[in-house]
Parts: sequence; structure tokens; C-alpha cells
Amino acid sequence: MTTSQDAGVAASASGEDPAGRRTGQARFAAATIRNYGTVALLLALILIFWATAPSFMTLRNVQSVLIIQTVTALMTLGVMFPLIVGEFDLSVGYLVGFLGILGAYLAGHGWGVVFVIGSMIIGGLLIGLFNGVLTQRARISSFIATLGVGIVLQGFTEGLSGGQVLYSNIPRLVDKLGGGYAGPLAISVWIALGFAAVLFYVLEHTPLGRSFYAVGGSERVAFLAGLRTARLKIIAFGASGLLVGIAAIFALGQSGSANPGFGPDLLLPAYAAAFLGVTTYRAGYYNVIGSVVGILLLAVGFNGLSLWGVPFWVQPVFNGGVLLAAVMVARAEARKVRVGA
Amino acid sequence: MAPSVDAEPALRVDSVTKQFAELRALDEVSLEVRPGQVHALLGANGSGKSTLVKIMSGALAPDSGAVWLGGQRLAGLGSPAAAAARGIRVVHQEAPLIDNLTVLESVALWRGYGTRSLGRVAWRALRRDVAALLASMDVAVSPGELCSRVGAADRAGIALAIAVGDLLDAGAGAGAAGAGAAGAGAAGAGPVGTGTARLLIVDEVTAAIPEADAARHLRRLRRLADAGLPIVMVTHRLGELDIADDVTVLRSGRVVYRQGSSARLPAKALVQEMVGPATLTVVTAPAGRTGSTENAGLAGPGSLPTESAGPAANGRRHPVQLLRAATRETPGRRRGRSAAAAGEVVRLQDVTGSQLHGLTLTAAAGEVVGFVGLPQSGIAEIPKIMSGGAPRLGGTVEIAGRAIRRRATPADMLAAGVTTIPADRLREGGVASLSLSENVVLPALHEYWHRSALQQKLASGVITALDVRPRDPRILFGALSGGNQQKVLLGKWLSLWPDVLVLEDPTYGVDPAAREIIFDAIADAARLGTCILFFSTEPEQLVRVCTRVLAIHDGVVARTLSGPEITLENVANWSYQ
Repeated sequence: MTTSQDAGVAASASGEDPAGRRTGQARFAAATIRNYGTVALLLALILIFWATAPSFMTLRNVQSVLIIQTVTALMTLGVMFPLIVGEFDLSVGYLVGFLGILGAYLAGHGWGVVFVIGSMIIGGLLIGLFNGVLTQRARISSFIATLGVGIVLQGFTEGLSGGQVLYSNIPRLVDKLGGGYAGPLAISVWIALGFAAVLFYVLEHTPLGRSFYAVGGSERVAFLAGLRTARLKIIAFGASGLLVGIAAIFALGQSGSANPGFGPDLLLPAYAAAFLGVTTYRAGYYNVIGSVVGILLLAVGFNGLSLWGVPFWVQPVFNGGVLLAAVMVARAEARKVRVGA
Repeated sequence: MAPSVDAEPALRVDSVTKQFAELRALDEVSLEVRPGQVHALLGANGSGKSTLVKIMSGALAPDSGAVWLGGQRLAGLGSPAAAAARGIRVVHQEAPLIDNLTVLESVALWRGYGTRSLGRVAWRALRRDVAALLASMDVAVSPGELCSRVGAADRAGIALAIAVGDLLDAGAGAGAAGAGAAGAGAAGAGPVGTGTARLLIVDEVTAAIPEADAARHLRRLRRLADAGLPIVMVTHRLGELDIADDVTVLRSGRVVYRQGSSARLPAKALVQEMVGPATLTVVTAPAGRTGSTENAGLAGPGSLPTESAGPAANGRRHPVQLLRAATRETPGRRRGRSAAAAGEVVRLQDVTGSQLHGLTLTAAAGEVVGFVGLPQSGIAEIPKIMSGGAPRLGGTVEIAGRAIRRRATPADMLAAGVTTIPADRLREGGVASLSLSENVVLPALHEYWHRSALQQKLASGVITALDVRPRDPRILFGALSGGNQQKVLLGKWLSLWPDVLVLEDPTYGVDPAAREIIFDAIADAARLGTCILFFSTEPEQLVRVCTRVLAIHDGVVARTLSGPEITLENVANWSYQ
């Protein structure tokens, strides 16, 4: 570890806070570059693909890029909550698959749209809260608890579906929510944006949101300060499950069917976007704006590369590479911060 | 006794007794603090200070006696929040800040976020209030600064501002505090730092602060007292008594000095009171008899005078000799090196670190060199540098004539023949979840690959030589008592035949019988040519085992005590100032 005491104080990480005030010109510039590096990268990618792939900047393509990402986007916002409070939720991939099958199963057995949608949302919330209770009350490490819950869910997914794709009697409203359009954007995109806006407000500008960050920063200090840290963590897991429930509705509506193999593959993209988010807007913290930028960055990269017609294996290489590079930059920043202690 | 002063005491501790199993931590302790007074509470480690603080803050209930705060009896508090609701504020050495959040948010976490419509945090008002709060506490830090970047002195100031900041500037924080309870709303029970402070307890808060900055912090305390707040100040530093109105000294759970309205004893006499009778009575109860444990510090009746406190320890056990005999064939030890490294083994020249400012010292084979100094003197950095745990910033280190590179790793230091027993046994010393024998072979693990007979031999050698109980090499390290853990660690390192053994508070949390064996091992290792660097917060121990004691002050060796100069009085004086 470096021991230089004051080197680069002015240039390195600042005590940037949500109120957005800065303490110096140089610091502001450095913070801007650091906090919006991924935004610049996103814009650069857009320009490059715009210039090289003729079909990239068409309404149709942009619409499809966005609508494809709504499921991942909600899952990313979901996993952010446990991450903020210092925990992992590995069940989200299995959960989105399970809830999709659950909705399709209920619809196939004649239940009404309200019950189908309600049970997907409530089911997600309850399973999320159960994850929280396992980690906080039963004191199982969240990594293991949520993995165990995920595997159990996968079993139920197989059981409910019988290994078949369920497609009969999916409610029209679900289809509409997932794939319908309102104005230039899909309804699901509007809803995802709405959730992002609300969560941004809650996390950045309310005491509840700030106490999530406090718990993640030091659970002991937060506890001593009078916060009910275990309850906050359970709420975080519950929020994760709830958002995954919404994501499952979109997924069901977009494909019009529920595939028992769907879900687990979405775990890594969701985490990748959340980790990418740490490098943006408020460097060093999981945050909504950063996560949204992270999702768009991965989506644009994915789409542009497909339009270029690169071999299929380049996609994961691109996604993983972007994630590693961004997180390495973020770590370098975090190290600079710690030196000042 | 209590002076006749116009004001009623704000805090009255009335013959409080507290017993932990065998140990009487507090024995009929009484103490009074008046409004506007700084009451200094002095005592060596294990004198019962911490227990008293816990009782005064309501974290522990006394067995008998009572604590009265402003005429009300404190009972059944049980939690920091409950104590805070009664107006008791405790500030510990470690500031309650969240390193990766800003100062603004760390303060708001305790004092409450004010909210406006839609539950939105009133950032602008909050920032203004926190800035005013910090200014009132003379803390020159921007609210937007990240907590991890705030220095120790300012952290202490912020901790104080969180606890009692509104006292000095009634306007500051009021806005945030008012909406605070509602602000935490769904999340928690409401911030602790709001409401009126009626008692402030500061627990060695200056220990981590460089001396130059400490004065500023003491002025903050003085100003708070002048504003009418009663303050109990637990401290190690005699220099801080200047701001105190009253002084109480605890020893072995009893009040041995109470200033009251009389003139205060001079510093040297206070030290004398802290460490006990002036004669060279060393706390050495023979093994098996009652002596002092770390937390008890029962220096009184069980202690015997000893004529020879030197390292020779005639007529005693020779654990290291036994260990060497038992481990002659085991691998990993540094064959023949000990003999080769006669004469000067350790040479530090102008070593600098974050607190050391040019430390120069030498130590020879067979010497037991003790170190005393306040925590912030840089003394804590020496074992870190010697063990490879922290790099030095400058200067040279030579072990047995070989220069050590600046960024030496623990492996480098081990290879050079330096072994260290750290103060934190379970985190840095041994692996709790591994067995005794697996712990002992760790330093030379590859040598024991598929050689379980040798491993067995080493483990049983350690068990026999140092009398580890139970005599089971398969027992988990974590299941051993503190004393036996320490014996195992000592055996682990001594079986390598090190040239240098660095000991950091080796008898911390160790029972008296084990303590004697550890001292025998230290003396025996020195007799066989190991150079021992001994760090202890207990002057008695240094007096007992050391051939030379170096007083560290302000990052350099301020004084060398040797021969007849190594008296309890001298060593204690250098430990506390």
C-alpha cells in the first residue's frame, strides 16, 4: 500500500455528496472525468456504431435494444439493494425463471390476470424477504443462503413446468405490459424508467435510502447509531425480490411463454451492470444512474457488435472485458481514497 | 472526600461493586462529578476503568451500589440507545464514522437527516447545520469530505460533535435534529445523538491523536465543561490532567486516590498510585498461586518481592532447552544460526515510519530489550516493522549483519530469523479453526508434507516443553484457553530457533500460571542466545524480564534505562508521559 500522505489530494476522489457541491475547480474536473467515464464510452460506442452500422440508429433498432433490456434492467436495480447493504442475492436468476413459470402455470390453470400478476409480484417479494430472513435471522451468509434458495426454486420451476415450455392462456395484459408500446417507447421501458426514477429518489434523497448506504459502509456504526440494520437488510432483499417479480412479468409478456430454462443466464448480466454502475455518477457506490448507464453500455455493445456480424463468441468477451476494465479503474480510485486515511 | 461545593453533583457513583466470576473488577468505588467539571479517571490496564465506564454508561449493572445521574438512579439501561435517551454520551477512541461516506452523512446518521416534502432530505439545511456544528466544535473539515480522508484529531472532534455538539451552539443541528426521528422513520429507532446531553464520558479519546493535535481536542472538552456539561475523562496521559478539575485514580478495582478539593498530587506521585506501592514489588506470584490476570491486575496481597528480576531466572524451568532437545530433528528450524549470530543481532538506524522519526537502536544476542511509551509515541510501529507487517519509510534495518529491504514481507523477516508474537492472538497469531499441531507446523508447512510422525514430534515437544493443557495435539487452537494459545504460539516460533523474538503484550489475557511459564520461556530463550524485543503495557513485566528498557517518545528513543535504573517507578513514569 502506498504511504504518500497528501499526494494527489486535490486531484483524487472528492467527498462528492448527493447535493452535488464541489470544493474546487480541479477536483470538480477530475470528479467529472472519473464519474462520467462510462458515459463517454457509451457515447463513443453509439457514434461508432452509428457511423459504421447503417441500421443501428433506426427507430426500430433503438426500440428493440431498449425493450430487450427491461428484464435485465429491473434485475440490476433489484440486485443493487443487497449490494448496497453489503450482501449478495444470487437467487435472482432462478427467481425470475421461477416466477415466469409460476405466472404461466397459474394462467394455464384458468386464473385471472390480476391473480397472475399479483402472485408474481407478491411471490417475488416474499421470496426476497425469505432470503433476508435467512441471512439476518438464521445468520447464514447471503452468498450461500440465496444460492440455496435459488437451487430450490429451480426445482420448483422444473416441477411446475414438467420440463415443458408453458404458453397457453397468457393474459393479454401481461403481453401488453411486456411488449406493447405507448408512444415511441415500449410500456415496459416506461415502467423500468419509472422504477429507476423512484429508486433514484429514494436511494439518493431520503433518509431510508441513505441508511442503506450507511449499513453497507459499516453495519456496526449504523447499528450503534440506532438503525435497525437487520431489518434494513431484510427490506433490501425484499426489494430485490419485488423488482425481479416485475422483471418476470416483462419476460413472460415479451416472449409470450415461459421456458423452464430461462433465468439463470440473467444473473451475470445483472451483476455486471450493477458493478459497472459503481464507476459512474457516484464513483465507489452502487447507484441507480450508474446502473442504467451500465445496462445501456452492455446493450449497445451487444447490439452494435451483432450488427457488425462479429462471431457469436465475441459478445461475452466484450461484456466481460468492459466489466473488468471499468472495475479496475474504479478500484484504483478506491485505493486512492483509502490512502488519505 | 467530596468537597463542599455549591452545586449538587451531576453524577454520583455510590460504592459500586462489580464481580466477574473470580475477579472483583470494582470494589466499593465511589466518585462524584459536578456540572462543569472535567473529572479525570486514571488507572493502569486492568484497574477497572473500563468496567466503571460501562457501569456509568448503563451498559453493565453493578452488583451492589448505585449510579445517580442528576438525582435519578440509573438502572436497567442495557443498551447504548437507552443510555443516550437519558442524556449519557460516551465517546470512544474509535470515532463512529462510516469511512466510505462523507462527514455530512456520518453526522446525519447519528443526529438525523432533516426531511422536507416527499421525504426528501433537506440537503442544503443539513449541510449548513453540519458545517455550523463542526465549526462550533473547532473541526476544520468540509462536510463533503470523505470520512476515510479525515485525520485522527478531526475524527475525534467529529465524534464529539456527534455526541454533544448542540451544547456549544444551540442553533446548529436543531433543524436537522428536529426532524430526525421522523426522518429515520421506517428504518430505525431514531438517531441517538439528539436530545440533551447530561453526562459526557470520553474513553481514552486522545490515544490515537498525535500529541500536537491533542491539545486542541482537550480545549474542546474544556469548553464543553465550561458550558456546564459534566465530563468523565478516562486517560493514560498525565499531561492531560491540566484541563481536569478533579482526579480519581483506580488500582485493582479500588479508588486509591481522590483529589477532591485538596491540591493535586504531582504527576510522579500519581504514577506511583497507579502502579502500586513504591517498593520494587514485582507481580510475580509463583505458578499456580493467585496472582494477577490481565483484567484483574490484582497487585496487592498475592505479590512477592523478588531479588533478581533479571533474565537468568535461576532454579526455574528451562522450556526452551527442553523444546530444542525435543525438536532437534524437526525440520524448519534455523540450524546453527543462533550460535552464529552472537553479538549484535538487531540494528535499526534512523528508521522512520508514520509515527517513528528516526529510531536508532541495537540489541545483542541474549538481551531482553523492553520498550515503553504512549500509544502515539510510535512504539506500536516497531513490532510491525520488525515483523514485516508494515514497511518503513526510511532508515536501515539489519538483522545479524544482513540488511533487510525496505518493503520486507513477513516471509523475509522470518527468513532473516525474526519471529513475532502479535498482541492480537486470534487474528494475527494462530488459526483458531486448525488443530494445535497444524498451527505449530505452519511456518514450515512444506517440510511436513507427508511426514506426520515429525509433525507429531514437534507438537508433543511444544506441549511438553511449555506444559500446554490439555495435552492433545489434535485440539483446535481456538478451543484452548488464552494462556495455552500463547504457549502454543511461543512454541511454534521458538521451535524455529529464531535469532530475534518480538513479543507484543505476550501475557495479555493469560492466566497467572501460564504467565509464569511464558516468562520462564522468555528468560530461557535469552539465555540460549535469542535476542528478545519485549513490548508490554505493564511496567512490572518490563522491570522483571528486561536487561535494558528503551523509552520511546515522539518517534525516537528518548531514554535508555539499564541496570539499576530499571525500576518500576522509572519505567512507569516513561509509560505514562
